[in-house]
This record gives sequence, C-alpha cells and structure tokens, in this order.
Amino acid sequence: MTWPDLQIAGRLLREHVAVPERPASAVTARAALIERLTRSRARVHTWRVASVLAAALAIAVPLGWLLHASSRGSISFKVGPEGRAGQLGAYVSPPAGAHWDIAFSDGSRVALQPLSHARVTRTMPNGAEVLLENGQARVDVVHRPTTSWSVVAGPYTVRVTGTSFDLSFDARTQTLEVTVHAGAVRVEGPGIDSPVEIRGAQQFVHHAGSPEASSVADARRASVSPTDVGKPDGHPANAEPDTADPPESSEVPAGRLLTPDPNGRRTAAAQETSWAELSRQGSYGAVVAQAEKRGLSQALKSASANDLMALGHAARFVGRKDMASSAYLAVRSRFTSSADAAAAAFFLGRMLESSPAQAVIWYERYVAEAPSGAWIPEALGRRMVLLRKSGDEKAALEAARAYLVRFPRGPYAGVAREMTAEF
Amino acid sequence: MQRATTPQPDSLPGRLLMLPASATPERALLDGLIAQHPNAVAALYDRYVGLVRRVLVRTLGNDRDLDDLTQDVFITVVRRCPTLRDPDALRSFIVSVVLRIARNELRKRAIRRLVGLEETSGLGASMPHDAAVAQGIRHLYSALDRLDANSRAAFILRHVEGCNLAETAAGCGCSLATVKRWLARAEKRFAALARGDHVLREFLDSAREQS
Repeated sequence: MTWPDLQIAGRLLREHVAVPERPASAVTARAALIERLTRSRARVHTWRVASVLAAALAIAVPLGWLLHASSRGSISFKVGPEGRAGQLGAYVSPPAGAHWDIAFSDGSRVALQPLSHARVTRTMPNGAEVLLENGQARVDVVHRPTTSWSVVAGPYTVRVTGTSFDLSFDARTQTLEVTVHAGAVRVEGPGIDSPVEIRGAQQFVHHAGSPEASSVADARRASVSPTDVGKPDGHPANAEPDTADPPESSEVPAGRLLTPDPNGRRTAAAQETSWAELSRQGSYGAVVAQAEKRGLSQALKSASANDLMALGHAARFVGRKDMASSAYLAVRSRFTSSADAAAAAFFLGRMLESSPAQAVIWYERYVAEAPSGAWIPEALGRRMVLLRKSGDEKAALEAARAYLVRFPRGPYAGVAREMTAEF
Repeated sequence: MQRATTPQPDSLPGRLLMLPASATPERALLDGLIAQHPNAVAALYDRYVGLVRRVLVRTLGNDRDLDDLTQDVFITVVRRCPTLRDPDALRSFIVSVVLRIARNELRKRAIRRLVGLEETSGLGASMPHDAAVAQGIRHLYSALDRLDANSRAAFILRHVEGCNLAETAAGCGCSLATVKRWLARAEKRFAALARGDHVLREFLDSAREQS
C-alpha cells in the first residue's frame, strides 16, 4: 500500500517533534492566567478599539513592505576557488587541504574548512540560510538594517544580524561551538531553554546528545588542534571532541557564557574553589593547579564525585592524562554504582583508545552500567570502530548490525552501514 | 461519536487520537469556569495545558511565543465557555480554540514572512537531535508553511493528532464536506511541494519504506 505523503508527514511530526508539554514554570503561568482573566474584564472594550486600529495597520503596513520587498530579488552566491554559480541545496564540501568560500552577492561570506559539509538551503533578498552538516566555517555577514541570516548546524540554529564568527559542528558528538569575533549571534536548539546571545570574544559550546550542556569559555580557546585529524574512527575531526565534552554533572546549566576581561583574566567566579564550577567556566588549568596544590592523593580521597569528574575532564583537556585517569578511577572506586562511576568508564575508554582492547572493555562497562546513558550511542559506535581497528571483523560486524538496529540514524550509523556493506 | 476510555486526557503520549471525555466531572468544571472561579481556571489549566501546547507547537511548527499563545487559548476558552452547551464537548471546544488561534497566528506569520519581517521558522527547543531528521523536519514545515492555514490545521488534527474526519471537522469548526475539501487540497499541494524538494522527498520516501 502506498501511503499518502500527508499521512507520512503526520507520522514523522508525531515521532520526531518533541513538545514541551508543560512550561518550565507552570505554577507561575497558571497564576498569571488567573490574574490576567481578572484584569481583562475591564479592558475588553479597549481591546476591541485597539483591534480595529491594529487591523487597519496590519493591512496598510504590510502593503507598503510588500511593495518594497517585491522590488528586490534573492541574493545569489558563488562557490569554491573558481567561483562557480551556487545552487540551492547543492552539497558543498572542500577536499582535504582546501578552503572553499561561499561568497554571497550581498558581500557576506562563509569560509569552509577542509572536509566540512555544507549546503545553502535558502536565499532571500535580505539574507540566506546555510546548513552546516559537519565541520567548521568562518562566517562573515555584512550588516544591514533588515538582515535575515541564519546558519543551521545539526539541531541548532544560529541567527545572525551582522557579525563575524567561527562555527563548528561535530555531527558525531552533536557538539556545537560558536566563537564570536565581532557583533553578536543568537543560538537556539535542543537543551537551550531560551535563545543564548553570544557577543564579541565569547565562545559557546553545547552538546545536544546529552542532558547536560557544556559551558562557554573565552575566545582564545577557539583554535582547533591539527592533531585532531585521524581519530580512531577515521572520521574527520573538525572540533576538539575532548574540549567539547560537557562535565558529567546533571547540575550543569544549559549554555553558560564567560567573558574574558580586557587583560585576559577570567572575570566570572574566579574565586570559586569548586572544581565543578571552575570546569564549567573553562578554567581547566586552575582545576589542575588546585588539585596539585592540595595534594593529588589527598584530593582523590576527599573530593566529591562532581569535583572528581571535573578534575578528570580538566586534566584531560590540558593533557594530564595520568591525573585524569586517577580522577576517573577514584570516582569508580569511591562512588561505585553511581551515574558518575559509569560515566567515568566512558571517559576512561575515550582516553585509552590508543589501546583498542582496553578501550573496548571500558566502553562495554559503561554500556552495562548505564544502559540508557547519554553516551550510549557514542560508546557503542566507538566500540564498533575499535573492534574493526583491532582486526576482530566478526565482532565488528555484529556491533555494526546491532548499532543500526538500535540507532539507525545515530552518529555512527554511516560508519556502521559502510562496515556492513564492506564485510 | 466514539470515545476513548482513557481516564486522563493527557495520558496518550504525543497523540490526541480521539477527543475522549474526562473521567472527572466536566459539568462542575464548566460551571466554575462560567463563574470564572480561580480554582476552576487552575483545574482547566492543569488538565489541558499539555494538549494545548502540543497542538500549538505541531500546528505552528515552532515554540516561539508558545507561552503567550497558550495563555491566549485559555483566556478565550474561559470567556467563551458560557456558550458551550454540552460539558462533555469541553475538550473538543478547547481544540477548536487552539486551532483558531493557531490559524490566526499562521496568517500573521505568513504576512510577516511575505514582507520580510518574519525570521526563518524553526522548531527551536523542539527540534530533533539527529541532524538528518532535523533537516527533514525543517523542510517538512517549510512545505507546510506554503499550505493555507485551514488546510494545515485540518492536516494537524487528522494526520498528526489522529482524529477521525468528524472530529477534525468539529475541531476546525466546519462541515465534514469542507474539511474533506481542505484535506484533499492539502494533499495535492503538499505532494506537489514534495516533488520539488529533493530533501523532503527523500525524507518522506525513507519513512515510507519503514512503514
């Protein structure tokens, strides 16, 4: 039977559009409703008069704008070093070592890093919508009074008025990084309750795949290490996944901003001693320094699970893998059976990927201990890739098939399909 | 009209299916609402806020101004409930108010979009995490944006909320023949839009294969 398109569309909306069924502050909303009802009785007449005036304006103003807008066409764009005319929806992906520009006729520009994947999905007289599927881009938008520019990166939307910023989206980890150099942008997406505005010299990092969201640090952290290329799964790494990992604490608020002061010192919460808090602010060096000052062995015995996880993340981010391992292992030994202990297994797996067999064991522990954890798609995907890397083709094939059954659209689904076809 | 036996109106996860009667006395609630008693208003809000928000988001395609529109729905329901004769029809009445407000909002947004005042639509916090699905959903709503507000509202009730034709007509406040005409028009227009959008076409075909 052939299902009509609308019926399929209805099913897709039912399945994929998550609806926030209750407002965050239902009690306040309910109280406001009652208060508004009480007040509104006296204002009905006023509203009727206002409605008539508004209706008149609603006809007059749009007509004026319509005449103005209809006199302009959508902007055009050119792609690549040869400046070929761009097509809406066409796939743009510079090869390794190449940087391609998407140059728009209004003077705006999107500079794609090598191996990034993007499309221009919509153009308008006053802007365009660009979809960054994976990778990094430098976006320079020329400011005009009615500019309507947006860049969609996975589930996120970055709205732009006129600014310069770097954007990175890692489809595997569902991690977004936005570093604003000038002007301001607004970021919306899953896990971000209300749009986050990011202004000059700020960096915003957010992870969509987990209930936790990571923080924002100062823009000087924005550079991407060239050593990212050649991750164990062979996927081009366009952002530093380690730095994008959110602290494994459910207390982390979504989308935090930290602005550096003019002298480069951190201005927010610099006096706080909680490592979890410092880590959220991106002060990883300070976390490591405090741990050393206190004495690592003492810290491992006395710090809370949150702080130990923060220490593990911070140490990993600054390259102190020995300290990170100690912190994660301490969480596992001191807080057995906790969610943090399971998460520590996942991060130990990530750190040990140079030894695939060990990493696989840690990932399997994480899966066993947190069967519905936030990192399950990652853990199963990485385990699958590592099994292939270690030459265990049979196990890798089984893992790939199982992955596709469980996560047919997951971050490693593409790799899994390649593996099932390959074997 | 056939009614579901589900005791709690919002216990159906993500679907309206039908417009079932609540197990709690609707007559008492309606009397309280007519008197604009705060307890009745609070009970109405608690019982139906999930339904209202869900239909609004799915109809509009984003959660912008959701809290304000939700308030507008409840204000309208409370003001107009004295005209409601059958207390058991309260839920259907609320759905019809939601759709009327959503259709008005869609018309306003269409005008704003036409004159370049409306920003690109997006689901915001409701957007799926999977990038490919999110892209498909964006294109789907982009196509829905090009349907007229009546057809879109009928589509939401019939194909997203799962109402039968009679319930869809009641929710849209029109006759059965009219709602059939709206749905036929929506199907024809949507199919044409999907033919011209390869991303949407691929998204629908992929879902059809999984049916």
